[in-house]
Amino acid sequence: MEQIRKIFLPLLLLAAAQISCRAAEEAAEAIEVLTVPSPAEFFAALDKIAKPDWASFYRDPIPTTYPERPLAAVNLGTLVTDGYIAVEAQDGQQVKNTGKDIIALARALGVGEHVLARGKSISDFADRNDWSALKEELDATTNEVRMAMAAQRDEGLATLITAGAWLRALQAGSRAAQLSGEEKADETLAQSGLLAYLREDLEKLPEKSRNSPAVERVRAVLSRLEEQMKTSPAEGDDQTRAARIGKTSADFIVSASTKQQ
Amino acid sequence: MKLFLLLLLCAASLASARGTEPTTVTPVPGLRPRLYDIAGALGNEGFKVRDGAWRGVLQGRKPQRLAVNLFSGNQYWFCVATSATGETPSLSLRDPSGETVELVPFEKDGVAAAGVTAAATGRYVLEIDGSGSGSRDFCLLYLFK
Repeated sequence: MEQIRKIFLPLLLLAAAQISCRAAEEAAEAIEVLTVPSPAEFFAALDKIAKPDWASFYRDPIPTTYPERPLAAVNLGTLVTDGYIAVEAQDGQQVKNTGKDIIALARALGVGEHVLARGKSISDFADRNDWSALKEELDATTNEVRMAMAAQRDEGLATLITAGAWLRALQAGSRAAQLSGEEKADETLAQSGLLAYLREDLEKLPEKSRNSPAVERVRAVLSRLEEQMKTSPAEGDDQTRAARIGKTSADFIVSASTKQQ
Repeated sequence: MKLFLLLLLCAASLASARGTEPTTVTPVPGLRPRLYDIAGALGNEGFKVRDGAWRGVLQGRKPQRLAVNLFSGNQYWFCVATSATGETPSLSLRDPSGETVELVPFEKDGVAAAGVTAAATGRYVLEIDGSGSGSRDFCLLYLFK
């Protein structure tokens, strides 16, 4: 009897483990991610809490050509967020300038023709101060570029655009949270799940793309920010969480947009 | 010995079940425009439609779950419809801590909608339940303000 137990007990445990494993997988497999939220959603939340002076988050124009396509994709994403910032500031001229840069970088990536019409719409809506339509147009422009990338089997670049957009959004958002001093504004920065999703997407790329210097840098900064987001807002020796997130994202944005690397 | 073989067969069947591919159904055109009737009305209230929709298949009464990142203080509306005639699906939402969130429900012509103001920033889980049977398409979109 003892011998039978010795044989059967591990088998029963194996079967039981597989049952619970399958139950967990069944529960998990039904969960999908819809889409990564747009920076406009993040800014809408911040706007309600912190009422930031959005124009103070403008930056100097960045180059619209880069030696590496992944780097160009990251910077295209940051430009899209610049567009949202200009819309929040209700600054039509700044929206138009950013729109032109977006088209130029999309052209450099070989998908300019897909968004040329969008550039015209952006300009028209900016002239009419139609901020609501501009947000939707920026959303649509990003998605069209991403879809064109996917059609060219460049899904990695599509993810880099999204990552670039979010890194720039976090740079501006963390500054807004810092300036407001509002706890609720700081809470909106806790987006480690979103960054983990983007990082995991980049980790699924083929080895050659995954290990390109630009992709490695994005993965590293996403990973660092994930860790920083998991800390409590006041934790740290000399900086708040918002300040640390702001510095990490700003350092990346500046170095990614600097041509000579 | 019979018991031993039975257990082995049981373990093997469990292992293969985990690799089962989900059934796919050709998307039904026209599902998304039905959602835009409600989305358009919400747009007049200042809600922005997210550029993108989630399509999938409902199998019988098995719910579909979707993770969405929501931001504290933002208002959201989720709208869903299925391809089954006469079916109005239902929506429920769990917050990042797993608690059920109270939603403002709305129904019109087989489209279900639910509104909420996010109390916390983070990943929520939206569940779509159908009352029908068999495989049918569904389409969901959401709006924010």
